[in-house]
Amino acid sequence: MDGLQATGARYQECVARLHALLLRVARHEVSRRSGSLGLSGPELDDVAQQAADDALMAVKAKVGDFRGESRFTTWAYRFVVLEVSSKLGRHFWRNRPADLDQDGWERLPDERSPVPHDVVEHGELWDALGAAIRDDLTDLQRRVFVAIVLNGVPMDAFARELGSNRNAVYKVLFDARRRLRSSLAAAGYVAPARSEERA
Amino acid sequence: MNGPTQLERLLGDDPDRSDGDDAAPVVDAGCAAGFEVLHLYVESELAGGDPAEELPGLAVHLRRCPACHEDYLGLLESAGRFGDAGPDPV
Ligand SMILES: [Zn+2]
Repeated sequence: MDGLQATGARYQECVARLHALLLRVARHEVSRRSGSLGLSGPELDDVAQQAADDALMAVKAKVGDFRGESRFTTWAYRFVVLEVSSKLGRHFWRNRPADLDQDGWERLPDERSPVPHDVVEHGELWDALGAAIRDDLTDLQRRVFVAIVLNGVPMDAFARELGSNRNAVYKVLFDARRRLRSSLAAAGYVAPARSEERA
Repeated sequence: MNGPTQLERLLGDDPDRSDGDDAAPVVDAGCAAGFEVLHLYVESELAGGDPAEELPGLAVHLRRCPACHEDYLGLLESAGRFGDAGPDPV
């Protein structure tokens, strides 16, 4: 990808080729993620185009940081994935009730997924968890936890709603979970130490 | 192990617990620092390596952060599928 540091026609050709690659990835990524968004084909392609355009700008700005430790494409595609996530976050709130973050924890043990099979007293445990969500979290922690963990709102969408960013929302989520763990422990429940799931 | 239970999914793994008796807890890379090495993580995985061993801070973060985990899935798929930049798409 020396062409990005070239000039003239070679540079233009290289940029055009790179944009085409990024757009291909953006379209694929948009389609991979768009399942529940209810967006139409042209809207999705619009998101892909914008994501590819912005990713290209990011790649051009940061190409000097590329150290050759991975394929250039993998390094560059990160920016596409990040842009697609951010742009889809913008579309997330359309067609959704505005009060999504007001409750939700009351429906905790619902049909969403199986009740933990290794927790015998799960009824009491859910009660304790619900009480901790209600009583022990700050308002912001509760909103973040309910929206992201219970209601599955994408973090970037929620960050946008808060006028914040992903990093900051993650920090709040992290603190909320740690608080809930400690509340459950204080109430005599031992939360699982760690997931065996590989990232 | 049947994968994470719902409670694990809700609470994530314990940030204060280390993997071994003596080891300190792995420091969570966070979103921004994780992004800086996400390509290395994905390349290692595609090459059959052990990225969680090489980049434990990012591995921990990917377990806890749904947004970065989704980015990771997307990059893994696209880097695998479109990694060898062939002829321009139509
Ligand atoms: Zn993250």
